[in-house]
Amino acid sequence: MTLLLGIVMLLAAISALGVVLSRQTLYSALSLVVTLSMVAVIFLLLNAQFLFAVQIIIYAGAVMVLFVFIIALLNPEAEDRPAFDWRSWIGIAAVAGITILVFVTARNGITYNDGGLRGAQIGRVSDPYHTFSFPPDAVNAAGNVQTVAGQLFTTFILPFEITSLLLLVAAIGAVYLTRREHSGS
Amino acid sequence: MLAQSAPLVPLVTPSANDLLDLLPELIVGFGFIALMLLDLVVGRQRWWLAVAAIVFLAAGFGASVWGWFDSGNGHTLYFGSFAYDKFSMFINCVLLFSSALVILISPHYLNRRGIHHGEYYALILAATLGMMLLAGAMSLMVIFLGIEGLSLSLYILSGFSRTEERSQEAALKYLLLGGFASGFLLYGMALVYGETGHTQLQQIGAALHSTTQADPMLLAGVVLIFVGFAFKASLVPFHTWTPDVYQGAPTSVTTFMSVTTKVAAFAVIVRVFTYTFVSLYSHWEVIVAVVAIASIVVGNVAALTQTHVKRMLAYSSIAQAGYILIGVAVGTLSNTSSSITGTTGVLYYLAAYAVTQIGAFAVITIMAGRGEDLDSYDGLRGLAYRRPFVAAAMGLFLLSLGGFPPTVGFFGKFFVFAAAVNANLTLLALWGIAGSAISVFYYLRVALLMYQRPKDEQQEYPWSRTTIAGGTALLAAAAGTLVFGILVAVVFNGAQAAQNAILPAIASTR
Repeated sequence: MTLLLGIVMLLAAISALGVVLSRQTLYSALSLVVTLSMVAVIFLLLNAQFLFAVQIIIYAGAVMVLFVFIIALLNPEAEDRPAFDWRSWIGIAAVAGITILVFVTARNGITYNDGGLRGAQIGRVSDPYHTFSFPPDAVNAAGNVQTVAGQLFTTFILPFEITSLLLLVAAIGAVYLTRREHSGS
Repeated sequence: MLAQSAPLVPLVTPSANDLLDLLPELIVGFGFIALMLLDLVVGRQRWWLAVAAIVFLAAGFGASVWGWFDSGNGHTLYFGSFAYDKFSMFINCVLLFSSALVILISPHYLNRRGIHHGEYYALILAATLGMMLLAGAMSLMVIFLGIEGLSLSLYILSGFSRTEERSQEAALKYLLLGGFASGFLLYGMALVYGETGHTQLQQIGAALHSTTQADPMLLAGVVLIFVGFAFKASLVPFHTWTPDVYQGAPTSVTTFMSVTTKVAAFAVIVRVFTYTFVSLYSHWEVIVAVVAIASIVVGNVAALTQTHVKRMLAYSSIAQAGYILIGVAVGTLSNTSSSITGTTGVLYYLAAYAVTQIGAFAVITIMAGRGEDLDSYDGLRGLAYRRPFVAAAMGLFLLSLGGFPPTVGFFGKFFVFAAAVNANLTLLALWGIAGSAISVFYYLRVALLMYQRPKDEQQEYPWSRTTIAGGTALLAAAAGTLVFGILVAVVFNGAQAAQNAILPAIASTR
């Protein structure tokens, strides 16, 4: 299990490099899709199914569609269009393989006997650093979404509310900076 | 799976009292939303928005003063996410006072620049709210959201002059570098969370106290968090955006962000480093001290060669941040015989810096011409003969920035350096004093230029007239600079009380 986690992390890191190193913007965007999907897979492997779904829907889905739209709007030239060469096939195969592997493993049940990669050092109860108060089995029993929601609306209610104000500021800024000047006002 | 069992952790709803203790932030947040709606009502009479903004800020100030007396020894709100203590109330008061002064000088300036839009006031309040949240933040998440709240508002405000290239460039530069710094900050927070398993500062502090080992991952997290904060406080080597953004942004915005951002950033630096990472002091002390010295040297030397007041003040603000950081580098060390500690020095310096820097920038703001800032050294020559009162006020602010008694700036420097000496960090204090000596040169150069006779061939600057609101702001800043310099004890005792009641309290976790 830890090995699979390691492979996924490596893939996420490599595709993140691809975001930075690609010469064409569309390749960067597609690499980012891989990065975000792999982060989603990490969530799944850590028994956070809800975060996995959210990550896929919002980041790999909605946000990336916006990215690709904008790139398509700004770069209509033909030369920036990606051609399917061997690199993209490797990427697609790797993502597909990992995803299948993950789902097969997830179906068979994900079990950890420690708190993650650093569990050997920090996961012990005797260790003062030990603070894992959400063991996977207990979270699954109580419901993944329910636990996240419960925490979000009680312990973390203040950050949650501040985020809504943050979004309002961003919306105002977007409207102000892109608004056309009306003549006479 | 489908049959639901009891929740994993018992769901505790926050008490209603927590909401009441959040009153200053609630007032400013409400004001932010209310101003957006008021903008639709007032039409062209936008100065009503300024009036409303000042009313909200004053109400927030009143609530903060009430909170100062009410909070006592302080307690946390929302399960340790937010502090209700004298420290945050002290910072709130400085922030709200500064914001109100900026609002006073804004309408006239914005009108002359042709960028008088209602969003301005709402965004100033939103930025102030972000800073207040930062001042009271007791959780890594609230810290991050506070930083983003103030940054987002300031990105928009720096680019507020949409038709002007320099303003847009400033906004973009600030946005890109700011986003980069946020990434550092978030990465550091993730590492600290990974090592301690907590986002709440109190629990992080407790977790760090209960162990003697300092994991490299943890130290990397601490350093990355410092990088994120240092960017916001424009400390060397994370200062490169400062002069360009300060020059490109509308001057009233520069006034606002040069003061309030630093106040908020130092508030959070003190809370996180001096009081939460206190057990790691020996690890971060050197980094903080080196950054402080670098800021003092680079800021002062670069300010020497400037020919525009806005840029000079930008570089001088970097140096000022360096002096303040000395107070952080002192940590909680102190001779028991002395009452001057690093945090007290930082708090006093922040209050002093706020009134003085606002005053200096306000002079540039209220004299700004139509569509341009008239702030070149050549143009300022002979200001005293045309505008004796404005020139006298500017002279006072420059003396205070340079650290001359009996202004408030002298005591700010005195307390910070004294704290360093008390903690046996005399070398650090000497760097600060040497830097102040250099700074006197470029501050006095401007002051002397204003009192020289104008050259005959000199083109007369089309300076703006001083409005009643602008004059009031100048008078308030000048009064603050002088009165708090003479009645030192008022602010000093306040700073000391704030320091004594700061959360997370070290004594309880040790």
